[in-house]
Amino acid sequence: MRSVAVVGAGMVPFGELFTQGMKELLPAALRLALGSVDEGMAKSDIQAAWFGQLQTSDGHPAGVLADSCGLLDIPVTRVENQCATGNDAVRNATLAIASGAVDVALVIGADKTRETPVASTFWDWMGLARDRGWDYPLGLIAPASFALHVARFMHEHDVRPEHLAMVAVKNHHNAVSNPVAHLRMEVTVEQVLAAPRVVGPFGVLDCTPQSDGAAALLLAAEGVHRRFTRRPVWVRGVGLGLDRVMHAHKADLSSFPATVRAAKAAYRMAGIGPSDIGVAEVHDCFTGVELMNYEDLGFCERGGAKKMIESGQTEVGGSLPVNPSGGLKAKGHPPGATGVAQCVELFEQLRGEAVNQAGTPRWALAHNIGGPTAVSAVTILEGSHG
Amino acid sequence: MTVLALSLYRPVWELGGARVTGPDEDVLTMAVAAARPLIAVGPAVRKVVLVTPRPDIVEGFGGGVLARALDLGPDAVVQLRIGGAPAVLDALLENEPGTVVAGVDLSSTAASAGAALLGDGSGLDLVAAGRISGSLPMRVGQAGHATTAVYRDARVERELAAAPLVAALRDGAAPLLAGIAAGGARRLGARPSAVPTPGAASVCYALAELASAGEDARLVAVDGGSGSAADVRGAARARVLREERPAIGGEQRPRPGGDHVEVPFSMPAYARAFEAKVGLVAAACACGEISYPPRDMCLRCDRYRETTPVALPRTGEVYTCVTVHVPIPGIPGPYALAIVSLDGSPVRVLAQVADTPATATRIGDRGRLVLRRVALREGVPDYGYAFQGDTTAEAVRA
Ligand SMILES: [Zn+2]
Repeated sequence: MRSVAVVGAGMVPFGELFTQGMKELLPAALRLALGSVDEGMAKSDIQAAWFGQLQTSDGHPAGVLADSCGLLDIPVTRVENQCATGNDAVRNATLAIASGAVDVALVIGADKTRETPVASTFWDWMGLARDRGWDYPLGLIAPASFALHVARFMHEHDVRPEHLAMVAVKNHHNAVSNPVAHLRMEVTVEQVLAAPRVVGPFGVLDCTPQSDGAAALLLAAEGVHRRFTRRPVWVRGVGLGLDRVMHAHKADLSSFPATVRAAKAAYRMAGIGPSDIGVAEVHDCFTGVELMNYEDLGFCERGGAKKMIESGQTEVGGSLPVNPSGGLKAKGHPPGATGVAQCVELFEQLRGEAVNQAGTPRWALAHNIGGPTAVSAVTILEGSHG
Repeated sequence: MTVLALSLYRPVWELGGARVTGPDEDVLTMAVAAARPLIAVGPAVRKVVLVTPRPDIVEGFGGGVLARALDLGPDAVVQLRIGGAPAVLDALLENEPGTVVAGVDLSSTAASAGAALLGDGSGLDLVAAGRISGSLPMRVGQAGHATTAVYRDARVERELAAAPLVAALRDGAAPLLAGIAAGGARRLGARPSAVPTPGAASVCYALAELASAGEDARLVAVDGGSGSAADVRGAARARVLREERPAIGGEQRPRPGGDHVEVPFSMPAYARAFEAKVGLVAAACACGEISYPPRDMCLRCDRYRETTPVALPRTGEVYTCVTVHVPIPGIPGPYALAIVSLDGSPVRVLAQVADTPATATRIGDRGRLVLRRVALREGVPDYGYAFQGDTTAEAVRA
């Protein structure tokens, strides 16, 4: 298999982008990615595109991308894998280039979660992820789906609400200086704990905002990449993991087995282990989920997550900065774009260009977990220096 | 006719001194709550007669739901009758052994249900002692109207409806009177029963009162201008089962929140889930693996469709649970969701938590599964099981 380089990356600032539909977001993200390529890249250099979108706002996703970006002469594949959509799109494009079928590919992710009123959104999103006959009518909304895990995780490892709040404090702090973040404000532990309750251990400030946004990466085969940059970032590992779709069937809710499986596949492909990772963007749709990710990704042992957050290890400046962009929690979460945007951040981190630069990391990891906590995607990137 | 056992149920919620239904209860779940304890008494139940003055569902009534929830055979007969106390007494007098008669009232002043199991052998004997059909439409609920027209004059009801019936159906001694409020009964020279309801559930409450006291008497049941009477003999021989939990303030019930939305419904998905969901039946593979909901392909041995149905235990322990505080259109809230590990079974189920304030449930709590209307989807009730914690756990916490 050929090595695959990331040669360009860009994203539209996340937020409530009411004035931009899919047809506006996609060209904007593509233009930013093309503009980031050191030696320049023409749209005509792109030989195939993978488009991650969870919803189908504005209609047929592949058609809308090809049409709005003027990419009618290349194949466009829509990828949908719940909240793991973005990193799964990266995985698909990577494998196509690695196989030799394609030399230059576009990975683009976008979603518009603010297109429908909240009243119908709950049921729209539940309909995407729940069995119609069984779990759907019970009101297992996305925060509850994750909260059932986090409640058990807290029970087993004596994790307190304060530990969850520390994740919000850290990620909000990181977002303040990030111009593409949705929620650029500091919060305190006291504010997080006092915020109105949403579900179980999560208050409003434990939850990701509902964001609109788009992000894009330009990938090129090793060798071909020299036309575009001398400072490539390498896609070294991609992994996808699945799990039972009904919560009643998950044997141990204090973990996300999908994450464990995805990480194992990605680490194996990259030939590294968790201790090699220097910076990570992980799925913190809810604060407690970030803590569970520390353990499932192997950043610490079982039960070690609360110590990691207490000690400041995962802050920018710590030994393993996690979500220096602000994460889903504060940068925002348009599902199809989320994983791609994580890689945009890590592309900048590995080139030493990030707004919250986490030292000089060599290895970086991006992670999503989604749907009924039944799918996870992990991408491992390596920088040119180090 | 012989009554082997009586079972009484009242919802846990209380408002203004009266028990009121939870948002997940309706006539059908109330009937199941009252009738289910009788199934274990045996003999085999072949027929259920459900009597209620104002069915909440008429066309499309879920007789099949009731039969599955009570573990009756597929050939069981379920009848819905509209009526009050006399209709219940008539049903007890008319039916064969192996019949359960349930009376259900959803009234906001006294939600209650009572059920009686008819059988052969030793029990409370009921002997018909006359009936009278009249007409005094004190309460009229017109189809399609949300409210009932009530002629608000208790004296008229007492003097014109109940008095002539009591006079005609008594046998000298003061009869026990069901179907009218206690004050009215006393004024008519009858004995009121200490029942919480004057409606369709009142006959079972009155019979239970006699059974508990070991006292024989004539029972007169009245409703509007009609009445029915029976002599109760050997009252002490009937078993009395009570499904009553300590009251919780009704203001803590989940409430409809936010905008009205129709929760989408799929009839094929309902049909595929029905037997396993309402019957609480899992699939056991030849290799011993149990799947719930039933799977066609065994996860352990890959056998395909080689399973037999197996009833699941109805008690268990909370493995994890959360409270949903944010208002969800279409679901009364706040509500709690729990994953429950069933006793002596590898099966866990996801369920809403019933009959307790939404934040009261904890990991490790014990309880049981009870049939509830888990959702109303495009006007169609969706029945399934909710987790009801043991009262002891709540009492300790309170
Ligand atoms: Zn098997």
